[in-house]
Amino acid sequence: MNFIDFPALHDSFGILTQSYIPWLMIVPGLLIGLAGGALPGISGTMILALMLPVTPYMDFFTAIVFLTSVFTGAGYGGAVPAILVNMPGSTAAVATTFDGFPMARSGKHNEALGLGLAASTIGTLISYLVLFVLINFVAKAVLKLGPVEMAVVAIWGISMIAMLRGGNVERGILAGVFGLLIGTIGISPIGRMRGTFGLPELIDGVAVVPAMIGILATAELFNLARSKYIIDNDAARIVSFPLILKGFRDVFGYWRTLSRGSLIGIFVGAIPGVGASVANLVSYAAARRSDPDPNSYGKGNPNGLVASEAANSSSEGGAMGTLLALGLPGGGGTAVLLAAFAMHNVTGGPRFIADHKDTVYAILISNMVQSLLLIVVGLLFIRMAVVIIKIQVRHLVPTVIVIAMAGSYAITGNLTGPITLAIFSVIGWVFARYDYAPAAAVVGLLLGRFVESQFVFSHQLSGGKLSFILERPIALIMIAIFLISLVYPWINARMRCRKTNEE
Amino acid sequence: MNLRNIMLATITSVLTFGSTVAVSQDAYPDHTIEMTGPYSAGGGTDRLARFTASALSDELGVPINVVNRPGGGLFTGTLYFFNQAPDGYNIMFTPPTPYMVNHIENMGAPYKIDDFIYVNAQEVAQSLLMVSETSELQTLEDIIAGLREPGKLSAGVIAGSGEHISLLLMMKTLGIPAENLRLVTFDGGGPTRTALAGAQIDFGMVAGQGSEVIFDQVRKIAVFADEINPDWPEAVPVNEALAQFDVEIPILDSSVRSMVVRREFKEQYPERYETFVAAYRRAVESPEFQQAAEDGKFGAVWNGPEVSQEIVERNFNLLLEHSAILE
Repeated sequence: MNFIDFPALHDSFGILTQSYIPWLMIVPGLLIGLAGGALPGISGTMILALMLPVTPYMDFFTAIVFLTSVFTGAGYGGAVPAILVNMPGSTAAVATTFDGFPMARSGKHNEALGLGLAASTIGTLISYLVLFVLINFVAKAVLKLGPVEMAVVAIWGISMIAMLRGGNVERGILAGVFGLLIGTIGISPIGRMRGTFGLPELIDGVAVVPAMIGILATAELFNLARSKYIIDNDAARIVSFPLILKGFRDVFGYWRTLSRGSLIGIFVGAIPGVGASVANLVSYAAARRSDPDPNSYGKGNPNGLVASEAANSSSEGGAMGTLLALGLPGGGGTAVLLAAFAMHNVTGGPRFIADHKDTVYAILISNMVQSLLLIVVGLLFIRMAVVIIKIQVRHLVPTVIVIAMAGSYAITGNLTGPITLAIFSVIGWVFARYDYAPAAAVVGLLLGRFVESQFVFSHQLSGGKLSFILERPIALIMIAIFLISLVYPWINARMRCRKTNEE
Repeated sequence: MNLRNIMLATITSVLTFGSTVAVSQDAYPDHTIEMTGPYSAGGGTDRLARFTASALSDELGVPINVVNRPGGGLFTGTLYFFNQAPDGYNIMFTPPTPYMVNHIENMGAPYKIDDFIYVNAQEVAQSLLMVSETSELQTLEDIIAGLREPGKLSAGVIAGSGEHISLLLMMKTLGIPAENLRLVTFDGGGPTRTALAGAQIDFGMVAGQGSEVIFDQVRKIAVFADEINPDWPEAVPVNEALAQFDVEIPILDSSVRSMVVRREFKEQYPERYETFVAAYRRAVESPEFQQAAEDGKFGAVWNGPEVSQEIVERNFNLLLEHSAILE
């Protein structure tokens, strides 16, 4: 099988240059996506679904360019509030808050936004480049992954809990377990109700996004209330476009984290049903684990920010690969894209790739162009957004809380969202006050349900026999890598220790 | 304009508006209709709902706003819809079966199946039993033979779905213990289809409509319908294949995607109801909609309220009768 089909590539330029209209769709698409991604509660999926009815009036290629532009924009949009006010605009940007917000508070807000944008755009670009070369192999590779492999990926993400401990290991793990337990509320994977206390609002479990915003953002805002500005230091509180650009350029100093994060994002994004919200956590975990100074994470280490943003953006490319190669959506966003495909009588899948390789290449190339344009649009967007740091906290906090409340209402369509937000704001504040890492609780909450489902599916598939896992070579390899990555820092530390002793 | 003028203008306009309403009571509809979708945006039913809303809006001459209210296996949104005024400005597009059985039987829903009128079962999806194209299983007989050996085969269905019940019912009717099968109960059609295409499971049962994406990677073995579906001629009707074992199972549809209004709407506003049904029928039967449905592979059948009611009730009663098998 060839990597690149050159005649089809040649034809794809025909599609790309046929009309200027698809190109006109990119900038509006990116802006809509950025705005939607930045507003908490408006998920990328939601904004894509809202845009869907517009697309029947466009031809197929224009429609796909427009929707993928929205998708690309939303991929970065979530990072802006994550960095500036510790409020992830979507579940994909949770790990962005870990180091992004500390950077902002210490006066590196300009650099952090630029750096995040760079990691995001380059991550997207890398993912589409990889896809461009490997699209013929994606379908086969993805289908090899079953529930067992997905469970391993999820456990990998959950291992984050042990790292997000702040000052106190036991309390960090307890916070994570709390999140996992909250995640079990609602219908279990085998259809039993758990912990709903008969409330219909809890049948689907606790609304994750409002709870997440509550634990991470509003709790932090309460803490901020004592300060006058997000950034205490008057001299550091500047809006500087050159500094944003400097942050953008700085990304090349973190190329290892960037490329690792991008690869993790592609892989995790390609697995159907997993996606950006898992990818950013796995990538952050990997970055922290392989760093000689893991304790600098969570305190404003730019590597953490790069790891998260590179992975959540590149997972878009991975998900796109699965969509094109299999015709199966990897997540909510690609499900809407699939619906748009169907509206134009196009189904993805192996046959689509074989028969319409030129269209596939054209889609991939237009996505690369989008990621380059996102640099320009994104820079202008953050130049506007960064003025938030000039706003006094007494104006900022109520405004953000109102927006978060409205977003929570939008998600659930009733008061369940805002109430969840309020309850978890208090929980988050108490956790932060007594050193029970709030971020660990969020990780537990995000991944608990997913890991449990995959675990149950694995159990059902194996018929309860543990030896089943021996028939799954990919799972075994993944477990091996996982275990090595777990013990490596420990062995490394021991070795270093021994060396110093010998000296 | 000073405050007094504004107030005067407001009062005048309210009066004018009021009198318009009084004069032409039958001017239905005169403002936006809200269509509840009790599922999240972007799925198959949502797509069908949005397409239908757009065509219906053109016929009725007012905007139709599709509002997704997901949650609780379609319970949250259905409950919300049940509490809206039955004045014709609130409609719902949903698959009442299989979901409402669970709402009514296990979730303490305040509504009954005949509190609603199923205006049109626009897309009735059938359950399709498929295997991966790499599988050695060729026929339903092969699968049944495999099922007789404990632990040999694995399968995937959506938890609690019509397929879940049909499969267990088939095994029970054939005298095969349910434990023989390693059955994975996925949480949606997407994961089930992915597992099937990737041969993670030996066979899978899921709605055939919407499975087009994996047709290249699977073989269609049996359809749970009375007759062959012309779209999938290779899938044998299940009871035809079961005839050699001298058994028969009741046919459950995979889902019945339907336009739903409250019964009180018809009782309180019979004229509005007639207007609504006629406009909906024109929308569905229009050549443009039929062509779009053909291209986009979505359902555009006009069954009408009477036939739709029968389809929903038949499925509801079968589900009710056999849902104990899930325990």
